[in-house]
Amino acid sequence: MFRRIVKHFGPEWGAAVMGTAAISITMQLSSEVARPFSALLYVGVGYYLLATLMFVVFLVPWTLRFFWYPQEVKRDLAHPVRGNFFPTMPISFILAGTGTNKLGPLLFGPQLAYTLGAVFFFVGAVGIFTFGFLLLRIQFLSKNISLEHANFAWFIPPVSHLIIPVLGACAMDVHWAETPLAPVLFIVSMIALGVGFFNFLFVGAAIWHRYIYASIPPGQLAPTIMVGIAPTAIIVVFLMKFAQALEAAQGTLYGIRFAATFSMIKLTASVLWGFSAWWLVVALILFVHYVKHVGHPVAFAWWAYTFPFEAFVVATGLLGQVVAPDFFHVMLETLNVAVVVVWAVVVFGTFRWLRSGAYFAAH
Amino acid sequence: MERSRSLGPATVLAALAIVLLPWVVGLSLFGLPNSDLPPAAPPATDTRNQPGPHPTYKGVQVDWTFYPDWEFKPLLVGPAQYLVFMFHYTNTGRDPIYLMPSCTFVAPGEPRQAANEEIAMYIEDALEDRVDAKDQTPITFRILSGKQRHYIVAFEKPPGLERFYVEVDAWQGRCLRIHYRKTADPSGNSVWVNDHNAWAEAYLGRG
Repeated sequence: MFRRIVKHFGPEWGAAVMGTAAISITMQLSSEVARPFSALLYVGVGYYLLATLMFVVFLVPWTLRFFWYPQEVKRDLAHPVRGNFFPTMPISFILAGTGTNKLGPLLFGPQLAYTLGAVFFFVGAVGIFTFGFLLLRIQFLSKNISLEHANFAWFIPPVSHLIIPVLGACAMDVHWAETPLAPVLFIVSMIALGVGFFNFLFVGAAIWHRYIYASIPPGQLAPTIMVGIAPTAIIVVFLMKFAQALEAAQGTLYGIRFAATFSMIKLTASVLWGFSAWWLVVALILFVHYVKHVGHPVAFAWWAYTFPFEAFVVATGLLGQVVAPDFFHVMLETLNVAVVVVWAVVVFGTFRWLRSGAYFAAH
Repeated sequence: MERSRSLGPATVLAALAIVLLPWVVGLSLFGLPNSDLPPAAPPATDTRNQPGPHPTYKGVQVDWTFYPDWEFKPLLVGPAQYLVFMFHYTNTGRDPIYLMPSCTFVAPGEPRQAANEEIAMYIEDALEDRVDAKDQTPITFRILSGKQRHYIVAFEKPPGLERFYVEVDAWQGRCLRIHYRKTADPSGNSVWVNDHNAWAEAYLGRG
């Protein structure tokens, strides 16, 4: 049975870890707003522990599949939709590192937490870059990809690089600031930021083209529209953490002065947050359209509703620390409730999907 | 995609267990003690209670409450001590200001250390109760004329620490250095003394 599970263990399972890990951060941010929410910090620890458990449990079959069923892996890599989900596991490393950075000190103290965070950073970055190159090569050289394959899951391989500098900036803050590791974290983060940002524009245009000039994706892929929220939300998170990293480096990192850049960081972050908020409405409009007119079947892809939305909520919480705190704090607490509801619905949906036998069905 | 089946009771229970697990674990952990500073321990310094003049520059007066031995116990390992400050910023000017203070720890033989925001977050409630002041959640905040806002700063405490200063950077080009050294009180106990404060000009270059 275990071998059969491994054989069918698709590359997309990392999305469930991502969608669970990010709640730990939305909870942590929500806990900071006011005293009545303090317990949410520990609820965040609960989500962090659950995400860690899922991460370990999923990593085993995900890894074994490469050795036991390389042909299945190869077939998935070449799949114009499914292949894009391979980076979800390395992204999970980055999210595990981010969670460890924020909540690890509460469990096992700062030293171990920040060290683990740095380890996760490098493992995750290597995985994201590797799958990024590999999947781009496959996509460029494939003769079987057509306009109808384009969907926002295409963002995952190249644009997921944006998540790397989030953990990089977290790691540069405090513990690794002004150590020999700081320049490495900085360079890797900046390369990843460049890759992610420009691919967001390029790949986004390609997907936009399909949405305008061809039919929208089928119901099973309806949730992928939500992925579009993530890039700008993640850049907001990065900018906020980078501002703190600049601060931790005595206000100047390679001549990039905190005092000189902070106003621009706040302005840029506000604009990017606005784009994500707008996209959330677009996603809701399309969600309603799918439910009413196309069909919105239970699918593992429902997990695409979780992480991007949570990234937006994290961006909301962090932006509220520097701009219009009263407005953003209310939004944060409201959206945090929505995050939990969406996640719970997706968990139930996943069980329903599993019971349908879809796990072992051919994709 | 195959046709979905409805959920059986066992599946509902399994899904429910996963959905509730983080809440059950989290709320159970919330009840555990993690901040072990003895209730009677007073702060080494509370400049709010001291006669002036208090350090003031460009309409911002800085006061602070300092706990040199704040113990925080993570859930899975033993406690560690932290240097914990709550800074009190008062706007002495006529117009509202936006403040984004930043603090750095400097000690002989130790690397410069930025404040640890995670530890500050974990101990926030306990410290607020102790100091009777509410920490600012935003890292940049508005202070109206004549009003005071409070901000928590925690530093990891190096072993064998004898002296240090904390650099408070809330202005452009100038910072306040708060110097502390360990000394013995008349009964022979070691205590931390704020022996002097100094203004320092910060380098504002072009590179």
